[in-house]
Amino acid sequence: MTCFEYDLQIDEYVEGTLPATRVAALEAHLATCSRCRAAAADFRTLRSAASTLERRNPPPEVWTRVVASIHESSEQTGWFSWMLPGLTWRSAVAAAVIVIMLTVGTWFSWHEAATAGRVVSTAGLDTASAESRGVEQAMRTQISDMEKTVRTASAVLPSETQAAYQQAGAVIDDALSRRASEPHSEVTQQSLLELLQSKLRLLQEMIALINEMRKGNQEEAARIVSGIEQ
Amino acid sequence: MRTLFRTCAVGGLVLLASPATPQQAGAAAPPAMRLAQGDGTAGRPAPVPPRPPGRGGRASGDWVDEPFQRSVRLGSRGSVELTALFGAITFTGTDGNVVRINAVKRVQEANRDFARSVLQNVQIRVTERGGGIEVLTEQPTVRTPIAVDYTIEVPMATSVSIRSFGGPINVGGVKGELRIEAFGGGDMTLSSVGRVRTAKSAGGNVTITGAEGDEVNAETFLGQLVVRDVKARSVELRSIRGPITIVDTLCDRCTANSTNGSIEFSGPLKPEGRYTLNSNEGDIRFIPAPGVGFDLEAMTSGTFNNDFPLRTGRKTAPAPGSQGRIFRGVFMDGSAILSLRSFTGNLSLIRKTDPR
Repeated sequence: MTCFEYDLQIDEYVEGTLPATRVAALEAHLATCSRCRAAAADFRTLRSAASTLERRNPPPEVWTRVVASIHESSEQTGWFSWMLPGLTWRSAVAAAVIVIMLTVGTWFSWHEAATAGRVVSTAGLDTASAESRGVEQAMRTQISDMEKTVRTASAVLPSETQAAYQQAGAVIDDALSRRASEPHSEVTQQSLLELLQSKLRLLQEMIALINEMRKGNQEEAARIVSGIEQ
Repeated sequence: MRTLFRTCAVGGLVLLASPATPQQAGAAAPPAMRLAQGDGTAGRPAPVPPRPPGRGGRASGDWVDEPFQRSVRLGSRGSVELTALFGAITFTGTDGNVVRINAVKRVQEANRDFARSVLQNVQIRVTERGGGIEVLTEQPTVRTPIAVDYTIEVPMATSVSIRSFGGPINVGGVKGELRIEAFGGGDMTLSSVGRVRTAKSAGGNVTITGAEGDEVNAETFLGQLVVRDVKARSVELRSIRGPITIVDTLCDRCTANSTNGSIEFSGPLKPEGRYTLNSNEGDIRFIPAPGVGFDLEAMTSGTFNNDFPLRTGRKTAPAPGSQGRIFRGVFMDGSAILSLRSFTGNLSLIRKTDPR
């Protein structure tokens, strides 16, 4: 066997999933090949790093800054003031979107790191699965709230624009329904989360556009939306 | 970017009530009459008289139009920002340093007196500021179909920003930075352009041909997205329902994401290039031109068809709880990085025969 062929087994070897019949041959090769030993060491490092990754919530000061920013801009320009009756609630909605997006982003990053490192352990999957379901629930709640807002305010948009956004949303909803009817699996869950992320993005865009149309200061709206996206 | 809300605040009810689609507007019958030419410097709009009874807020009669012309000198690297409502928009890059704005304001209305008063209140405001020109469309709040078609010539290196609610958008020969957003229907066609920061259409098709610049970012919710003969460091494409087609595009990094549209890439690969094609539900076809090797990772729960003699070619066992299958392999020197993923669609890696 060549280094290349051994190289392909190293990830499974590090994970402990390489069949025992191949382990001995690989270990014999590792004993004589510094390149493959280095590759195995890299895999161990990556695996170790990936398994210690935790879901990170944004630091409290981020939340404070965002809320303060929204308060400030609201007082200055009235942005968002049409949408929701109470300052606390609208701040919370905007901040919740940020938290959701950060959480989802972190989850995807974690998941990609885990996949890249081929971390396959039942306990790890259980944890990931529980976390992803938590993220899913949070996203669904957020989407529901944003949909209510859009339903009550979208009349300000031209009918063609409304139709385009609604059709796009329906396409995502249909795909979500199909995922929900499939047996639960890691792949199904990842697909579902990506669809929810798309739906959130669509609703965010629609709300930003509604804001501009209603009375908003577009520069200010763009600045705040840009801040949320970052 | 800052003027859309102002326009729409003036014209919101028109937009809501207007039964005319941009396509209908663009295909309007010859004008029944031509009114006085505007100069773009009109002051406050005159009040619109009450609509004659018996119309019921629906479109009726022929289209009545009024031309508008304005030329403004602009620096070689200035910017033009157009905020439009409904109507066809054409931007053309030219030699020289003058922006020529030709517009036709149109209203569909049988009562000519009413049409005339509406047209007088459709305002095109041209403002020069800070090395740039801002063109703003304002229209009155009436339940009458209104469209403004723009044909604008700009110096070739001008940066162009367009925001529109409907109607076709064509941009050709403009090498400055482009930011184009269409919030309704209408197809968008960009040809021989430079950097495309944003080309986004909610309901229409987006076609980009012959772009050469740092980046090309394009998106459509419902239409098709076609990118052809593009050279850019980064190409990023996104759709929700429509298919994405990438042809003969050279880039360091190419990313295409679709919710349930198909994605097809065909053409040469760049050594060290990174190609990431993801569709949640659509099929993915990858047809690289001969000459450059690639390192593949593909994931699908559907079928995976492969014409290439990949080294390894092995199918990785699915992770516990996973339905998807991951395929990895290397072709030739593996210099390009290729990632294909569709959760429920099929993947095809198709080998194009070398004409030599």
